[in-house]
Amino acid sequence: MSESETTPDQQTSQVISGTLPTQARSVFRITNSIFYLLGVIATIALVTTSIVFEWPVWLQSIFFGLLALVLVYSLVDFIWLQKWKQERFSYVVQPLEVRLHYGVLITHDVLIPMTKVQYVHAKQGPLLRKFGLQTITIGTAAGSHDIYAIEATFAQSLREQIAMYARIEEEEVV
Amino acid sequence: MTEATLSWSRLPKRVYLLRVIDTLKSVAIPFVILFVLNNDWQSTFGILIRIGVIVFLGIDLLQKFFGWRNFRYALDEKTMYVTEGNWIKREKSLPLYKIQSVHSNSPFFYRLLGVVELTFDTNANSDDASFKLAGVFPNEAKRLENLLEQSRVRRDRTETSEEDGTQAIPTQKPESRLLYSLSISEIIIASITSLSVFAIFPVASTIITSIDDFINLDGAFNQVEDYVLHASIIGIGILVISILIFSVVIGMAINLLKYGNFRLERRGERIRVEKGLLNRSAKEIPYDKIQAIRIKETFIRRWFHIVGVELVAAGTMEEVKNESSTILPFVKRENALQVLREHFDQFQWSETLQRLPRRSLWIKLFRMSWIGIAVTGVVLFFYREYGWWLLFLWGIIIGGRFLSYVTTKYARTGDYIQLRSGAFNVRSFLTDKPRIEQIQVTQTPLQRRFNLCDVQFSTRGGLLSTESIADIPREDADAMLEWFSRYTEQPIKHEGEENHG
Repeated sequence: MSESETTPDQQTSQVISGTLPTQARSVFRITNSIFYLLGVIATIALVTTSIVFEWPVWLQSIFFGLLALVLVYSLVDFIWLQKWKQERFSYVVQPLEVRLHYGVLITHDVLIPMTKVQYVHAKQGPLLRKFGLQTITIGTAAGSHDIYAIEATFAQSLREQIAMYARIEEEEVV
Repeated sequence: MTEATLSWSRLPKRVYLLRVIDTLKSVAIPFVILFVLNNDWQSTFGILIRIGVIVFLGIDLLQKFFGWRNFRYALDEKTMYVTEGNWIKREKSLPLYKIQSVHSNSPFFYRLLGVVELTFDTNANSDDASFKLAGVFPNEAKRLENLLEQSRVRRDRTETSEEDGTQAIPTQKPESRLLYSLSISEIIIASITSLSVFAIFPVASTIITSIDDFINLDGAFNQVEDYVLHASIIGIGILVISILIFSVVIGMAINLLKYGNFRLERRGERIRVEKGLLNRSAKEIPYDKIQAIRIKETFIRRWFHIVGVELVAAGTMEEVKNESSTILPFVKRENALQVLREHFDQFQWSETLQRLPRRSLWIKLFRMSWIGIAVTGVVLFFYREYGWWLLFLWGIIIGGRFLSYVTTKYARTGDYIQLRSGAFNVRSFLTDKPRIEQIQVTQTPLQRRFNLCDVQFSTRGGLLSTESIADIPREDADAMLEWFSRYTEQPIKHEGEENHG
């Protein structure tokens, strides 16, 4: 899988396209860990209460099954799904439109004309900062889309490029 | 803010009276319970609670009084100024150019006292997006609407031609044209064909049981039960039919109150909807804010060719919340289409729509019905003796999927995209390319196997402005993306000038 080989100087060809860098995987994995953890804790709590209060055996076995399921799912999600999520995200920014393609199980193809773009934000939480990444949010009147976790300086120039294509002026004209 | 030159006005005194009535309405039930039904001044707790309620009422009335006294508004040529606040005064100003539309609303008590409530809607989505004058006299309302109209005309003028700004501004209002008014018979037919006719049974049973909590109705109930158990089929039939007729009559009364004297008008570049007998409300939607048109057909009304028409408009969330963007609640299909063709001809309905391929039916039938499975599980586990009813449930589920296959249709003609979807209730949606904000194609693993996908079209009219079509062939979805792309070669057409911002 090709990593984000795109550089700002591709502006000359007017088509900026790319996928997410491999570090994005780590970011996704760390952010999702909290959910794995919550899931595991909740199911362990169920299992222990069912044992402590001596609930019927069939209920106990259901909870054990649930725990196994959560563990297996967390592992699969951690190892493969997050990897695929990073690999299968791609974007194409052209002067007149933005195209996004993403999704592991359910795939999404999004097409936004530049004239409809109302704002572009770049944001960076502590985790993204640690990896030197930024997320770009492209907003229209109908909602917004994220280009997650791309390299920070490139993200800056991409954001400016989109803002220029979309002709988003700094000041609102009365 | 130049305080001196502005003429500030307050809302009329009777508005305070209205607010007092409002408060009294909201405390009426606790008052009756505390001071009439259960007038107990013995226990300390009882005394405290009663004093508390009275003090609360006093503070509320006082607060409303200051609220009324401190609320003042003024207008100059460009801005509307308001000061408000119950204890702490706040000032705000609203540039007139931001006001998109004015809605007037007159609930029953307002009409009784001869005032209307004006709402000024702006384009913003924040808290102060809309702005209310809760109760002004009709002639004052007219004056304000005229002022706004003038500012609008002035702005259009300066936008179009800078040089002849010296001319006096014409003060006449744009001519208004009646597009449609509901007749009584339409309202009556709508009440008969409404599914809510059957709502009488659950509603009545809730009312009866809640009365039963206070007054013992057991005796009366038993009599009714005895009667029902011993009556003949004919007797029960007559009973049910008379209950249904009663319900239709109630429905008619409600619909008459709600839609009585319904008028759809066109005023210059705006659409105006007025409705209601007791609570009369008026709503305006600027033509250029219309993003899409939606036609709704409910299960029963479909057989009578009765449809409802809604506008999807860009603007505040208020349009989404209530059904105010409904421009025709229930009219004959032909009449609705005629109005749409004549007055909303920026959207063209096409007659020939494309159906789904046969494999879409298979995928719809094949898909798991989680609700069905859950209900089946519960019923089979706990209420096995009612198992036969599951056939009915699955009949509805499978029938619904089959209907959804039959009703789903779509057409892409020129710049227009038209979608028809739904199973029992059918919705049709029409918009055009310049108004679409984005297209999203999604495909689940199951759909990938069948080479089908879902397509979602979004316009800028808030929550209800997106419409999607399910299980269409992937090639068609790709063709829609191509069609929407600004890079695809297209027959020469002026395009892309619809946006300014």
